[in-house]
Amino acid sequence: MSRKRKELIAGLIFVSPWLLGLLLFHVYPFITSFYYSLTDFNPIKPSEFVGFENYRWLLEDNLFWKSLGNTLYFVGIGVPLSQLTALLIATGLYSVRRSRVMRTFRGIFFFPILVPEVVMVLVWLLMLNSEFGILNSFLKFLGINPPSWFLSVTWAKPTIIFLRLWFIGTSMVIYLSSLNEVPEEVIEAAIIDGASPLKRFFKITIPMISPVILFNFIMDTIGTFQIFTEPFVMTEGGPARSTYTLTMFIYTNAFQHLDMGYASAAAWMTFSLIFVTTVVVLAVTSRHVFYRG
Amino acid sequence: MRKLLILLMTFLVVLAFSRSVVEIWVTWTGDEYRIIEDLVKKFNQSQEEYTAKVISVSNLAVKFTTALAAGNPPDLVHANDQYIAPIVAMGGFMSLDDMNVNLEQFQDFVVESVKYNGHIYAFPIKVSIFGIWWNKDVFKKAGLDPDKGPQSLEELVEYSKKLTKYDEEGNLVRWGFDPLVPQWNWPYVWVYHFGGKLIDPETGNITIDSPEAVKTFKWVLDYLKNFGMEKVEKFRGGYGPYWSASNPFVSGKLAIFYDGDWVTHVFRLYAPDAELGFAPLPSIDGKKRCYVEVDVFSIPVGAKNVEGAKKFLEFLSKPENLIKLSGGQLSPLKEEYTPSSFFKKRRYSRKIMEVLKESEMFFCPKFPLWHLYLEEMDNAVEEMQAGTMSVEEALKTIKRNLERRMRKGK
Repeated sequence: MSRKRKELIAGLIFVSPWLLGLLLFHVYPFITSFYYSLTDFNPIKPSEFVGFENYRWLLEDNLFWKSLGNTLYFVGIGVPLSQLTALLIATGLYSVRRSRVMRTFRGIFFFPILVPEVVMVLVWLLMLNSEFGILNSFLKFLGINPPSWFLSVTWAKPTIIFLRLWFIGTSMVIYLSSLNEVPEEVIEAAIIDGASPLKRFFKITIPMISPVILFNFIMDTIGTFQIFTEPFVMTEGGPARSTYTLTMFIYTNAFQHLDMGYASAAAWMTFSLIFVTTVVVLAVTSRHVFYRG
Repeated sequence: MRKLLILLMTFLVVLAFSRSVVEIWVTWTGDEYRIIEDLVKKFNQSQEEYTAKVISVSNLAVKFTTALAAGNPPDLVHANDQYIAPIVAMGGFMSLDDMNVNLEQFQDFVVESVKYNGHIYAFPIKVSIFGIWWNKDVFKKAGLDPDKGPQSLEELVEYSKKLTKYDEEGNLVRWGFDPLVPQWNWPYVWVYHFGGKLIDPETGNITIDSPEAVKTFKWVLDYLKNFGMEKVEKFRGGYGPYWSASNPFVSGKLAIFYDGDWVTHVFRLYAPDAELGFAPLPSIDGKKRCYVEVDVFSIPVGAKNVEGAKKFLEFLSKPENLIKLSGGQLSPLKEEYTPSSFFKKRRYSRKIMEVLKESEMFFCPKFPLWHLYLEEMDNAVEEMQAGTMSVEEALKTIKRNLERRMRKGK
């Protein structure tokens, strides 16, 4: 046996636990869920092949469209907002990169990521309580009449988007490290040429970190398409299903109605949507992203 | 070789004499859990074949369906009569026609409530009766007769207005009555108090868009508008969790509360000195009506120890065990099987029994998509209250969505 072949076998043995896990817990369910999406499948009874019936019912289901609309709202408004906030904070921290303040604040902004999401959401539920929550008490002190954040159809969705800003730590840290990679000599040259700070930011920094912006944007979009914890714990999809998302639709059909075939079809629709969105974003932004080297 | 044989023999002997486990899932915690735990101990001591194990499971409905889907359900599950039809329709509960239990001892309506399509699918364990509850002290302070609840819907509104308090800015501080407490409301019950039904018993058609139902929710919305929708929404945001001292009724935010008789447990825990009054929720035609639910145990399809589960039910069916299990609530037994001490020991049982006797009882319909009906109903009342749909539109949406789902299931 040649050395190369031996190395290949040894390598495969080392990665085999991960490969097995991938095949067993990702690839297998991925393929079977597509098959189940073509069946009338209740786990207690034998499944029955129904072709694309589940997809047809799905397209006629008002609740599916409503949950899709809500999810797109979270993606359309939540993703740009959280990415912009993360970038602004990272830029702010980068500007004081040589002081201790930067390290302290980087830790503070990253800290929420370390707290389990459900715990954080429960704490926010108390802080945003309309009667005795700290935010409403503060707003009342300022003479503002605050709403009931989670019971109002108008406010429930924006409140959830606002809460998700709490979890921008990962994006912020990635932006911060990418800002460190922007060559200082280019910035210095621009300063000598008399470019204003704003111009330097938009004409040099942004293009230089554009691959990172694209990466964060795509990851956040995928994550937001799968938003579940916040609406499930805070509002249970309400009021009036104004925060009912695609993942809640899948979960309810699968585990409460035991309509696994229908839930699988919805999961495949969600997957297709994420896939198409990612491809479109990549295609649209390809001309504007600058890859060094 | 000899050692191996001895080991094998020991293993077989242990296996032959070991007891098989009966796993029981319940939603109860606190006092209610301690009662079932005591009964389980008594059962384990009473025989040597089975060991029952009781587990208190939060969010039981979801965990149970997940376990059912995974083919790993418990041997007995605690539910109530509402869920029999949907779970049987899913193929999730076994028929208990052959359980060795004296059904004669149960009240007739109780036996009816555990039947579906002519078969018995559950074992009844206690009865919950719904009505309006009030704190007698609060009534006294407001100048109302503490022993008499509102007798008509008009009186309910009048009482509520008298009991409601505002702060200097006009915000609600105490509200007389909330007909739709978020997460703890039974919107469908209101339809029956307005003479309507959810399902036509003759045809099986969904009747949620009937004129009676429209009238019901128009009345409820008008009632809410009396206090200002925005104020109500804000006030509701301050309701604490049900099983806590900040439960809006326990904490005094609500003066009159529509609920099942388990609310007396909450008071026993968090406001033991409070004296409660109880009456049926008034109906539009003046008739006394009460919504009733029956707590049950069922054996899921896929249970590993069906025989053990049936043995446990047989044990529970002894009147003394059922009386113990009912805790502070009503037992499912006929009066002749209930010792008079039952009423002496339980503070509100006599009053509850009185109300039950003089009222017409009604149950939720035995409808295979009942869980969806509830979901749609909850959403519809939220839409109506938010003003995103008119009453007629919201009720028609419930019907349309359910009929669509029924067609899909065919």
